[in-house]
Amino acid sequence: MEQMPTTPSALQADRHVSDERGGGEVASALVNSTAVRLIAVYALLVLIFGISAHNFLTTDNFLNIGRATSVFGIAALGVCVALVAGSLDVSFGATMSVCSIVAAEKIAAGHPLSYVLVYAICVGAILGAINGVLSTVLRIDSLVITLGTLSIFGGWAYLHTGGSPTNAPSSSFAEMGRGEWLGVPIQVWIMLGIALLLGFVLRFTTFGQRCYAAGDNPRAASIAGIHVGRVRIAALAISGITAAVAGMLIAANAGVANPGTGEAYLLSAIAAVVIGGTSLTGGVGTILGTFVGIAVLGTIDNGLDLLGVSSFWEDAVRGGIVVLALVLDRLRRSAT
Amino acid sequence: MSDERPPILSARGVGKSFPGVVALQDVDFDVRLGEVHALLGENGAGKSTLTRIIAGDYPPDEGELAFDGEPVQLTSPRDALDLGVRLVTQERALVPTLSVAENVLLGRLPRGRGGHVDWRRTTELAREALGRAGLDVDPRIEAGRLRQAEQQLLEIAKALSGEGRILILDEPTAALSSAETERLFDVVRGLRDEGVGIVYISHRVGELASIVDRVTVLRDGRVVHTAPFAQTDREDLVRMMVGRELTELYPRVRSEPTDELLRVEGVSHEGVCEDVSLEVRRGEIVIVFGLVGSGAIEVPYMVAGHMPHSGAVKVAGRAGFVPADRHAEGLLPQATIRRNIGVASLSRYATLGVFSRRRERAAAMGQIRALALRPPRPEGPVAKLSGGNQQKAVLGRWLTAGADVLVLAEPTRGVDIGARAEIYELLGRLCEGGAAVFAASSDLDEVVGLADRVYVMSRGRVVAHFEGADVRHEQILEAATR
Amino acid sequence: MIRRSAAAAVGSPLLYLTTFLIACLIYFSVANEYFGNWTNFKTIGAGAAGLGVVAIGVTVALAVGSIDFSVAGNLALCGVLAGKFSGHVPGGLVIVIVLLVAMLVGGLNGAIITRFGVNPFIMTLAAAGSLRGIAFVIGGSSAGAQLDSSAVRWLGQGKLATIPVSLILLLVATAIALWLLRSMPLGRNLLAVGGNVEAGRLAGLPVKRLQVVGYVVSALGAGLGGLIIAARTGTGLPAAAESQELLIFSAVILGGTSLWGGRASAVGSLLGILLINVLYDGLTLQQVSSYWQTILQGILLILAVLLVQQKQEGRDPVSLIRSLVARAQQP
Repeated sequence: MEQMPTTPSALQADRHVSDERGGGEVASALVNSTAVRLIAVYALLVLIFGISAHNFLTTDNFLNIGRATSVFGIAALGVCVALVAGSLDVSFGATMSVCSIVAAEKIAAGHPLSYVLVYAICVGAILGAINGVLSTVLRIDSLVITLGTLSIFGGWAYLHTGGSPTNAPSSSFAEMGRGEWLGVPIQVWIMLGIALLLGFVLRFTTFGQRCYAAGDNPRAASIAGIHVGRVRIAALAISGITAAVAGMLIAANAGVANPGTGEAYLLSAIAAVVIGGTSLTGGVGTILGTFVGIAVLGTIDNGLDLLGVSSFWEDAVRGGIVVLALVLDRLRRSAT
Repeated sequence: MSDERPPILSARGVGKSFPGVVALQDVDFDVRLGEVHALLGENGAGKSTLTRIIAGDYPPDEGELAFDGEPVQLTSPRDALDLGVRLVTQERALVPTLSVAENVLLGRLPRGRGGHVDWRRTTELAREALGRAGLDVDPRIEAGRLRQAEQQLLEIAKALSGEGRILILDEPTAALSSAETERLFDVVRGLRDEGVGIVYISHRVGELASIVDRVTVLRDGRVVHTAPFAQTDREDLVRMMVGRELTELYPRVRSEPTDELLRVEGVSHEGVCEDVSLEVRRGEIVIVFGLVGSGAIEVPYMVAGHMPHSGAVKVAGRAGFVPADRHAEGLLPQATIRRNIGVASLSRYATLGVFSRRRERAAAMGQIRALALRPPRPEGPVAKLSGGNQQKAVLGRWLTAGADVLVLAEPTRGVDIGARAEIYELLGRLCEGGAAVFAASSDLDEVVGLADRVYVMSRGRVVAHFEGADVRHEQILEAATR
Repeated sequence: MIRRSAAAAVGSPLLYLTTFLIACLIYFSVANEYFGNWTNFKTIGAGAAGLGVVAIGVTVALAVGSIDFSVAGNLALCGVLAGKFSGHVPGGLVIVIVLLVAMLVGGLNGAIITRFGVNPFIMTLAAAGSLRGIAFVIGGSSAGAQLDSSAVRWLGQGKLATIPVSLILLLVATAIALWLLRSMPLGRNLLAVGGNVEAGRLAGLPVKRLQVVGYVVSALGAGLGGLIIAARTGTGLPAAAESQELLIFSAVILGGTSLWGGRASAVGSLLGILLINVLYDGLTLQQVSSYWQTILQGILLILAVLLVQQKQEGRDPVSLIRSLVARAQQP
């Protein structure tokens, strides 16, 4: 969708450029990495809010940001993996709802927390894998498949509960949503843990490398011997697992699971992934970028809150800031 | 003869830079009324930049363009189109979802009453242009359903319709069979006689003699030679393009073939090929030759398991596959050179699932050196390489992974002559090293120069087999057109 | 003749959709005495009209590949604006102002996307949030703005020869979009750029301007949809059409329009939105949980795309099943 300037001969002619290797190359790669540029944008945001809102630059406030972002952030991290492998997943919101309900029911039935965790994660993985299998076997773009399963999973959540909330009466479950460890909310620890884990998976495992290849050019990847279908099924299953964790956190936070809760996080999670530099057509993107994208969105909300901006205005202004940041970034890049 | 003719277009002192690179420097170039002017040079020499400037794709940084002696500023492709410039590019600029007819008349659909599109006239005009280009398809089908060669001919048909004064053909024959090429040459000669100025870009120096009047050679963004074609020697041309002596395009040191590594028995695919059987032994290069539509190009796809088929394919060891369409099927366009070389052997760089970029880079670096891939930067983006170097990267992928049988479809399509020689040499070395090479090609020069044995296909069947001294142009072509 | 082939190209999803729609109409009519009458059909049509015109606008935008997720937010803003203006200026003027504002929003989306190269996905998602936020700010609260103009209300509540005006608007919008995409050079150029941007550029088409046109048309559809929905309820609600983006896009894809540009069917989108509404109404009358409708919608979406894709690959449903079986047997 994004248009690249088409100057093939300019690209070809680049081979006349003298070889630069080693440190210079690493440095230029860093400057060109979206994640790093985004960190600069983030620093600017922190600076602006730090000056304008006097209680912004406090540890507690950053913990607040973490708490507010962890649910959609966790979902975004999995979506990033699927998108890198070339599978855009929009069904994760419904998966969140389903897993949130399933977890609440199991808790209500008196099952131990560990059993509930594993159970809900398995449900998430299966739903994600269903997306992958449908998309691979039917050869339909995952966006269309997941648009369909968004309705199907989401409809099931309503059908199953009759639209009414499911209580999750358990102190250990509530602890997961509201508790702290070393002064940091447990849900933030979970988000950080998942970010590190998935960051490791994408960057340092063979599977991660296959994800990039499958997203970059599936036909070429398959000719090079990569089972693109399997890679994408696994990547979508990961997206389902993170959605399950995020869904459980919603239920743990509120002590109750509602159908339709997950869908509300749809846009912000995808926005975080895309702002983080992940290509919507696959093959490009990092967990670091997504993480900074989550932070940018969370910080904008938080900063506006602290400035006393009403929630309506907050909605109105948030989009403007995101776009402004991207436009400035573009202008800066075209200036150099 | 054309020296007296006035130029339609002249470019004076044209220069163009892109970030970090000078693509053109002080280039003088003109196209005269009724001439075929060949523009030669390796990939990256500046041919595409020059033609794109003429086509209004982007403005030059320095120098000026003049049409009929009048200076002009081209700010968009529209301006150039209005002046009668028609560009046929290597990249297929088709809209796959629209009909063939609409593609022919893209951007200038005839209007009827009330500003509506006049579909009847669209079909008529398109039929005429298709007829001139020698493309016999129903203009109402979707362009995306055409085969690659047909799409190339459609590009030419696009350029032929309407009042073109300058026709720029960028590698028009790359995907064409020799019969189609001949047909195209007839059209080009006809246009020349009507007074159209034609800029002809090709890597196939051999085909120039039959149509070209003048030749200009670009190297590193500068004009190194402009003269009537008749006064230029073929070896000189190649030397000027490459900037060094090319002693031998096709290497001829080969070991004796030994045991059989690939056996294809009765392979068929409805509408493509029927009952194809062949075998390839260790240490030999076997090529299937066929005109476009003969089914030859599809055989490697079936052999490599990337196209469904009936019949049996037996490979002793591992098969590597280099597809015909580098961009659609070969490259990982957003990845590094390192990854494009390493992608077929990823698990080898991992210990217990933990991937080592360093090991991948070391292996890629070794391959880059062996292939003389330029620039030798494993972390550079593959998209910035020239076509030849990209092809080397795709080849290098299988040299790294270690293939016993290398299967290739159109191994040097869109590859400049310097890189082409290097690729041929590489294939020769592979055979010496105990591998077998099986390829399909529609480039007759390549087939004759490279192959130890040749299977000729026509209408989906193998119709002839040649080896040794029998591998000759006339015989092969005669069999292919039978 | 080309027209015929164009019809054949989009013909298959239309055929499947029409067949399925008629089957649903017959089934629900037989199964429920309250379903099968013209009054109910007209009610369903009028109910579909608001999001229907949005879907039509989105269809034209997708033709050129302009993907716009801000339509629902734009729709809400336009409804609220209509309410705010209706007490002060004559009804006709309200309509004009609101549609102009909508198009301005679309133009702004398009301009920022094409001028600065901002990813259209993010741009329109961000705009969606902003527009709804502005709708809440202007509306003052979620109660929204009362629509005091009978002329504007007529769009949602009026009738012409017993046919709801909103349904007529939907049909007219479909007809205009159909005519534009089939027969007008502008529409064909939109489809050309949507099918291959580079080809359009080399053919001298004003690519960026056409992409902006796409965003303006989808915004226009959103504006009209906002007016119709506000007029039906008599209030411009800031929460109107909240999280209905995916329903709109589902209807459009159901009709055979490609999300990636180059293929667009206005009639398909019309049938898509009607089908979704018929299912909803029929199942509700059948006392079947309306949640089943959501599930069915998802299944239909996947099935529809599957059938369209098969058609494009030149295969029929029978060979599809055969190839699926063959694929399942593969290791």
